[in-house]
Amino acid sequence: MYWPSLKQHFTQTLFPGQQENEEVYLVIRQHWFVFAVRLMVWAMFVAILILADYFLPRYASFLLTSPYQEVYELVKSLYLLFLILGLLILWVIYYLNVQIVTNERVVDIDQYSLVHHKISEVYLSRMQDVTAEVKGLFPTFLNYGDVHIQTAGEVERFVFSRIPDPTAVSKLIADLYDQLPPEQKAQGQKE
Amino acid sequence: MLTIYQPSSLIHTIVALMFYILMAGFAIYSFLALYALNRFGRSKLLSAAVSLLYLIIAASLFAAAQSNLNSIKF
Repeated sequence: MYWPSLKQHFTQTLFPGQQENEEVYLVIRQHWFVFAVRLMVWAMFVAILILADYFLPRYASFLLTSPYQEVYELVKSLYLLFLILGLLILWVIYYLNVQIVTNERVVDIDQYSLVHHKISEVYLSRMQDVTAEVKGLFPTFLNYGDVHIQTAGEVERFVFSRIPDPTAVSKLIADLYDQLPPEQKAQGQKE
Repeated sequence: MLTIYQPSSLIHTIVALMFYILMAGFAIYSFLALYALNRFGRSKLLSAAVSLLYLIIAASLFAAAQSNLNSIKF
C-alpha cells in the first residue's frame, strides 16, 4: 500500500486551489430547514407506501392474494429502491453545496444537479459591498437568508443562498475585508 | 443465492425486460450520485461510509425485487 498517497487523500485541502497559508474562517451549507423541506416532500412519497399498506387490506384485499400479490410486492420493492435513491440524491446535492470564507477570498461551491458542479470564488480585495437579506416567514423565525457580495468590475453579484445567520456571515466578510492591508485593497479595486 | 431468470412466456420476458431497464436506470443514477459524493465531498471518510451503507441497502432491496419478480407466475 502506498501510504503517503492514502494519507494525502484523506487530509486533502478543503477546496480546489486552496493555498497553504490560507486560513479558513467559515464553512457553511444551506440552513437545515431547506433540507428539511425537501425531506418532507420525500416523506410524502414514503407516506404513500405506508398508506397503501394500511388501506389495501381494508379496501382492495384481492390485491393481497395470488397472483396479484406478487406483482404488488414487486412494485413495492421497486418503489422502495427509487425512494432510497431519491433520498441519496437529495442529501448529496445538499451536502455538496458549500460556501467557504477564508482570510483571502470567498468560495462558493454549487452542486445544481448530479452532473452540474460549479465553483466560483472572489478575492476579498475585489469586494465592494456585502449585503445580508432575510426575507419571508420561515427565514425570519429561523434566521436564515441570502448574503450578496458585489465585486469590482462585475455586474453579477456573488450570492450565498439560504445560509444560517446571514447577518453574522456578512459581518465576518466585512471584518475580514477591513483586516486586509491597504495596498492589497487598492490593488484589488484597480483590477 | 439469487435464482437465474429463465423466461417462460412473452409477457414474462417483457416484464423482466422492463424490470432490468428500470434497474439499469437505477444503477446509473446511483453511480452518478456516489461518484459526485466521493469526487467532490469534503470528508472522504463520510463519503465512503455513506456509499457503503447505500450499497448495502440498495443491494438488499435489489435482491428482494428480483426475488419478487421471480415469484410472479405467468
